[in-house]
Amino acid sequence: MQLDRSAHAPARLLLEIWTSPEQASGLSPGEWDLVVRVARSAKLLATLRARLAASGLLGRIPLAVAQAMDSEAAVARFREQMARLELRRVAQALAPLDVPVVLLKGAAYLVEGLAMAEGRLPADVDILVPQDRLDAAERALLEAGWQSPDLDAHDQRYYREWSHELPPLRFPEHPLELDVHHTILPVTGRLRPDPAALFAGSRASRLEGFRVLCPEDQVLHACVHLFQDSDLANRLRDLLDIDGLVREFGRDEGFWDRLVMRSHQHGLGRPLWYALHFSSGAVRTHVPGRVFESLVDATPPRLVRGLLDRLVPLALLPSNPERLPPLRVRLARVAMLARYHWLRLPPRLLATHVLHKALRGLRTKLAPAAPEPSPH
Amino acid sequence: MASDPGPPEPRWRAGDPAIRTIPLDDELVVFNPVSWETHLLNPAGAQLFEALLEGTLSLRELRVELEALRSGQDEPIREEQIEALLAELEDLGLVMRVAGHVNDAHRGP
Amino acid sequence: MRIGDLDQNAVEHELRGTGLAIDFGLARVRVRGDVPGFGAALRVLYAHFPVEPPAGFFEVSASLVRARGLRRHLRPQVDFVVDGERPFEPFPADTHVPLFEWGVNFCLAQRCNHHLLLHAGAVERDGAGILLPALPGHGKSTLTAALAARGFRLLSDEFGVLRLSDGAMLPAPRPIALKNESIELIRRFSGDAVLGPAFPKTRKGTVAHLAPPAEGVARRREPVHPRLIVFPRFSRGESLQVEPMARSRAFARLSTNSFNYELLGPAAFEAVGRLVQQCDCYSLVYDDLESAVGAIGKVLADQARGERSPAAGESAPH
Repeated sequence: MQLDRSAHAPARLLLEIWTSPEQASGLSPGEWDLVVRVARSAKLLATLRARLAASGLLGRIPLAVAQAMDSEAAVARFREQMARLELRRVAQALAPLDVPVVLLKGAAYLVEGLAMAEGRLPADVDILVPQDRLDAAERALLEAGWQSPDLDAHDQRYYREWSHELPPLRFPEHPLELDVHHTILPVTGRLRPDPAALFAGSRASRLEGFRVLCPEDQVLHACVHLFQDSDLANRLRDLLDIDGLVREFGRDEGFWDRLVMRSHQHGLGRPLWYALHFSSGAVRTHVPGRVFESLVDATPPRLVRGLLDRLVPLALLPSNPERLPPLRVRLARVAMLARYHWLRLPPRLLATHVLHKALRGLRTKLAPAAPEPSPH
Repeated sequence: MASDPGPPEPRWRAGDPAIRTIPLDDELVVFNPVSWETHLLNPAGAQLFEALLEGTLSLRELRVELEALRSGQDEPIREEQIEALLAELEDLGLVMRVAGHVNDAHRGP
Repeated sequence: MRIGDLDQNAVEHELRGTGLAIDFGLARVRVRGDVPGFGAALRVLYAHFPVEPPAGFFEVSASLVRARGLRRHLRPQVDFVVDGERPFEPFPADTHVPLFEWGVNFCLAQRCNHHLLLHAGAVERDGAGILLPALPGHGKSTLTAALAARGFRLLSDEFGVLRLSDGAMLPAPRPIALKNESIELIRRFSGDAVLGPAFPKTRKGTVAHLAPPAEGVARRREPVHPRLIVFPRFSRGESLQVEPMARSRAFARLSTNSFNYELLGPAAFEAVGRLVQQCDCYSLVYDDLESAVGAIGKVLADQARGERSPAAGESAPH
């Protein structure tokens, strides 16, 4: 990835340690100061600790640095505990409904005991239920004590008609929110993964009452979550999640081929391409060459690719804490925010627009005389 | 041939092997590893709970055990009092019923 | 060389440049900020702390940044900025020290969860650690300041920090924030008291800070094992009362007088359990600082002699 040196030097250092943890013992205290600060702001401090611990390196870094990481790890452990508690309550509330409940994102990683889950700071719990059981599920949860936020009519509509999830529910006094999804991308978006296929591919999880997506769908969800459904701002963690997932699942023979096939099935080749491209750029994720070859149809045009190669790192990486983010970072984030909104536009709105322009062009060419009545 | 023994008595025991306790004088603080909540048990509750940490006991066995511990003090304990205490502890996820009933799922908080 | 040895220009120069480094034992803080009066106040309040190069690893790197825009000239405001974030609303620029101290407290509470953090004053005498747990606004800072003025080593007026591995109290001596009447009270209580500037218009009234005494600063790296827990309550007009407290009740009160008891889960449970087993616990009601300090001294002396006021096993009706 192309990096802006001064704004992203600490982030670059963080990525080097992430990729090659053994370099950790060579960092000066001043360098650690910057790495810890950007890691903390990117919500990666406790996962960084887990990574160092896995390589037996916690004893090789300054004590104060290890303690800063220990503090964050204590917070992560608490959030994990709260997530598990939330899931127990959800299972009890939804059990009578006999509806498949699929864990998404962090909740799935946690329950399945994935190595990359250690040190993540879950902010909420995400579950997926079939759309035709969404109302029943919501009623059961409200009856069991969850509360829906006080939203105005417009916001309610936004969630219920346009989005892919209910307004976030919260059990009183509980630190984590519960997000109930019925698919994994906004219904108005231009990519429409098939929820039925998500459920069909799901399997029983290690926690009774819950299912998880198949590994390939977990990866694809993480890809769309970052590259279709976000503005990328300071979302390095989401990219490293993807790296963690494919490292773990990639040990399975046949995973990569299944992943590509599944992406074709769901029409999610482009977000997958982005995720693998930027992940290998950031932390040298080992992606077999044939994978990019099989995704040739999903590869973005060179111009788009060149533009995103510049903008994505600027938007995604945590900025140097010693200074305000430079103008190019702020502009990149604005651009990515615009992209996020544009991706959420229903395709028919855009198609109508394009058709309208095309027809206008056509009329001009064909009709030197009086214009034919147009359908618009 | 033995006569029908009737429905088996409910028996109780501590809910989770990972429950932690610290005795403080004659009271007991208890940590529930599932809910991460801490509870304080008065002397009667402490004796009851410690008995259930040691073994699985029926209501009758508990009364006998507690009377032995309290020997000579005040009035004898009634089984209803023990039942009430057990219900509270069960609600907190600290004790559970076994054998004779389907294991209730933890009705923890 | 200490911060108090620097002249004001030098301190302000550091604050405008790479920052002033302050090591108060529990944590190292680096502060920057070009705000009138801030440098002069820091020089007084942190006088005993050694001058250190602002390099290396810091638990907290913070800046006081003047807010931009027209307000700058009408009613200037200042923000507490840490790692690119502004966790609070801006303060008027002339309440810089309260903002700085508050901000550091906020960061410590977030970043020191590898320890058990109690809402408590913490002092030491004769090798015995004393905790004074009380919720904010109940006078523990004033009482802690008084103890510090009467020969008790100051560990902290705000954070009772317990190391999880062995239950030791960790020092974090810093300026003590005193409010309203307490400022005069402490000034009269101790002729040696070094007080920073008064800030009259904060939300809590007038605030001034007592500089941590030299001994507390010098011994900021010396942990101490807790031996005594006193729950203080200031009550105007009431006579002095010292009552032993049942350990179970002390446990309950400590768990509610904590920043992170719930967060730490089983580790906090074990730590507080060990704490109340190792300590004698008392409640203290007072309306006069001198007698409160005297009462604490007496309990400590009795304990050292092996005497205890009525055993903690007898539950006190509190």
